[in-house]
Amino acid sequence: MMRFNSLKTPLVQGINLTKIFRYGLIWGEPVEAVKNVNINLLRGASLSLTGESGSGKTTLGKILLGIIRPTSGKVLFNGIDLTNPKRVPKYIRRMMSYIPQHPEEAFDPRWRLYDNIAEPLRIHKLIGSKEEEKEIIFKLAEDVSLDTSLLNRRPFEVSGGEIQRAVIASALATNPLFMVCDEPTSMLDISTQADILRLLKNIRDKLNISLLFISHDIEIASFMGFKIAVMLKGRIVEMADVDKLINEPLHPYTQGLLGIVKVEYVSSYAKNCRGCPYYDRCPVKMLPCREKEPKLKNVGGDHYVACFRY
Amino acid sequence: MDVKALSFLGIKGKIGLIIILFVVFIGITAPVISPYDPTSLFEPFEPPSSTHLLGTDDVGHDVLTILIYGARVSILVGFATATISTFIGLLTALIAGCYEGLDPIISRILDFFLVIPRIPFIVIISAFLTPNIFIVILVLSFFGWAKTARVIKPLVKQVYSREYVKRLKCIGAGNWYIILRHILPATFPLAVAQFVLEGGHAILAEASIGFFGLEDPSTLSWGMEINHALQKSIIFLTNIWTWVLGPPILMLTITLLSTTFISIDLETRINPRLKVRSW
Amino acid sequence: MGVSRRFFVSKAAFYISLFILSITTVFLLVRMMPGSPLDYLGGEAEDVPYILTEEVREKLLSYYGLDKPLWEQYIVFVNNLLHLNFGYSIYFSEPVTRILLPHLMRTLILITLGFLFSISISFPLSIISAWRRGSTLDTIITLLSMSIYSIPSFALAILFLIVFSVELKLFPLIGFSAEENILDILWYALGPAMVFAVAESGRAYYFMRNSFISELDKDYILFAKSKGLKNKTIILRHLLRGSLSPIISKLALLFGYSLLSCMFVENVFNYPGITWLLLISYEYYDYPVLESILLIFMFTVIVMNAIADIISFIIDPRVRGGWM
Ligand SMILES: Nc1ncnc2c1ncn2[C@@H]1O[C@H](COP(=O)(O)OP(=O)(O)OP(=O)(O)O)[C@@H](O)[C@H]1O
Ligand SMILES: [Mg+2]
Repeated sequence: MMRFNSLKTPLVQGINLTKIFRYGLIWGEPVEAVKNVNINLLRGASLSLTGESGSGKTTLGKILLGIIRPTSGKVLFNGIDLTNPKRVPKYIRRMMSYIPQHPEEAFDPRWRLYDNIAEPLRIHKLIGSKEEEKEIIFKLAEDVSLDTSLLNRRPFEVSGGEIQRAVIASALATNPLFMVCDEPTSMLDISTQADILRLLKNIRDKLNISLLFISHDIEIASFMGFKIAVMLKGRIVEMADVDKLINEPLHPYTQGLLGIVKVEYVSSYAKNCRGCPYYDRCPVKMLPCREKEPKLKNVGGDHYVACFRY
Repeated sequence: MDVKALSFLGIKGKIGLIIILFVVFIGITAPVISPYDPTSLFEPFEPPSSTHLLGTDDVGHDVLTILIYGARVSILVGFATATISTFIGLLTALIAGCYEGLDPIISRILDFFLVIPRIPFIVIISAFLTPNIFIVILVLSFFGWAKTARVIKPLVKQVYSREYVKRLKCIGAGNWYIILRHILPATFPLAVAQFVLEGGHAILAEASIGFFGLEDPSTLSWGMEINHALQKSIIFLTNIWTWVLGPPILMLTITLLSTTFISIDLETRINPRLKVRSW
Repeated sequence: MGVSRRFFVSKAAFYISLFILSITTVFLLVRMMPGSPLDYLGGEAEDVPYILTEEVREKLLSYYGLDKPLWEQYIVFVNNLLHLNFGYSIYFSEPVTRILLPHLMRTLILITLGFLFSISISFPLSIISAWRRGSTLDTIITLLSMSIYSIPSFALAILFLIVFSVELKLFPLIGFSAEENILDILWYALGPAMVFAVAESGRAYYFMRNSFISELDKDYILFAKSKGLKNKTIILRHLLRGSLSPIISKLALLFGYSLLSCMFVENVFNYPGITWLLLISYEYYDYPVLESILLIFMFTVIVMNAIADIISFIIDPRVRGGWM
């Protein structure tokens, strides 16, 4: 299987990532969007990120791509530090691609789909002639089953599913090694969702891409990933292979997401509390949970969880 | 929003465009269509007749000739000033909007320029150099660009924070590539509206300088003509004002009206909320 | 509220640096003008009966402190300003404040009158046409105000003079009387103030209409309408309150700039306001007066900007976040 012939060194490595947002200069409490996250992605392996809204999935994805600069920590892509954007050579950027959370925001509204898809190729000057470019674009469109007659339209003139396919086509244009897909299906109906997911899965397996797949829906996340990581308030609280995590989730939050245990309704959460991020909602909380934050630890078989009960 | 903003103008904009093109035409063809040479002198204060369609002024210039050559000055000043200040303003807005680190200091510079009172300073500057039209153009551009930058900057920032720009940066597009290919086209309609507006301002400011009599005396501009006429209070005792004062004021007003029409039309197109619509 | 204190402190720091910058700019530009105030005290001007000898010239220069190097003059200038001492007019041979204040008063009377007229015309009109956006009435008022906005104010002033003073002979052609009677002053200010009001009302109308329209498009007004509230209630209770902050701060700015925009009207009417003084002091290189007038212009604009900032800070909590 693919998993085993990937290289031993990780392609993307996030070390101790923390991102704190401050609103304006002086107003508002700082928000810890990502806190002390360590993440490794091997070549060709994929990881799904899941968690509730506002848990920092998008922020983590953008940090790993070098779009957002982390407050502290490092991102290594093939050994090159992305947190120092000036030092990142252009060819490294060619190996990455990004599918933003809102596909209709992913393209310049003034440009036709064709030009939008071709843009990564043009930025990296990967094609010689117009004919060659056309050939490649049509091939890409075919790969993502996008009707080629739509290529002359502008982004706001096509449907959500169509534009999502076009965005994927554009993301594939430069043959990336690493791809971040941020909720690529959240705006679509169920059958289109399934189509897009299958498409992404096929592409990933065929092209051997390291995929960071983000979804707030743990079912969809488990459909895509080899590995799955659950985020809560900026922390990764549990991470394991898909089968393990689905079949025997350890963290009460994951269990809640999977619907195994009933979660108490809490009207408002404490913002930046000292203890466990799940403390106020946890059905099985203990005394130390309030004061100390549990660390992510390996409980055997590459199953990581951040909870004092293990 | 902005894609089709320029593809056609509304009725107001079209009327304005026709008028301004007419004035431009007059200005360009001035030596051909003017009845006399601008330097030739006749009897002063002659009423309109078949030889002098609009009469003559206090020193004996043919008013129609002066009017036609005045169009040349106005259009030149308006066009050149608008070009320079839109160019510099747009560039500043792009830099301030796309390089976050530079924004605070650029904003402060803009704030400073915006409190400089334009006309009094031109009065002072005219002590240093007699304002021929090239100096007028330079001075007006010097005072004009900050406004343009101020108006365009928020839009640049807004576009620059869009997701597609982030995506392009992530896959390796340079800042200037993004600015030239994506941000500039997005701000273009606003820049055009600003260009027209700034052109109108410049034409008015030039006329004002002339009105205060600060321009190089040999300049044949509408403002100077008004200034000369106003110095002779005799024109109010008879109906002389109807031909020495009326025509330049009328031309100036029509020209300014047309730029206002165009810029307001463009503005409602860019910001459709202001568009006149019923609900 | 440590936070709003920091807001005010950093704003204040910015405005103070703006003051310093404008003082320096004005000083440098004025003092470096080619020519000297003494040129006009010497033989050329007819009403000066004596010739300036070299000796007297030097004495005068040192009397006015003009023989010192520029940086020393600058220090004296700033020091005087800090003590609210605007200097001594060279041309009028009187303290600048004595010369300046009456003219400034005249101008303030003019623009205050004009401003009041202009708002009382444009405010109701802008509400009407924003409320009935798209109607014929709105179109007509908007077109009219656009046209007025485009006509240069000196042209309006000339038009007014021709109609009311030349043809109808209702108003005086010359801008002032010798007597300083308050009624007379008001009477002479009335004509220019009316022209000024008309010229300004186009601009005021246009931006007020736009602020009302953007407020009218907000959801809460639509909600109020759908609840079936009376129009009068909606206008008084929601529309005015919602759009007050942008309008007031913009009006403050307009008032600041009107010191400048009234220059043309004053000039056409030969009104003895600040414009007249500016042109005289410019012509005779009367440095202290010229500097004071320019500083007044810039300070008014700066102060009005600051007031607009503060007003929108107080009225509208939204500007508090992310004001940079
Ligand atoms: N640019 C920003 N400025 C300030 N705060 C931000 C910014 N982006 C995100 N945040 C905050 O960071 C936290 C994490 O946001 P993020 O977008 O990463 O969540 P998410 O997990 O992707 O949520 P969703 O599932 O809704 O997309 C949120 O509390 C959000 O308010
Ligand atoms: Mg997200």
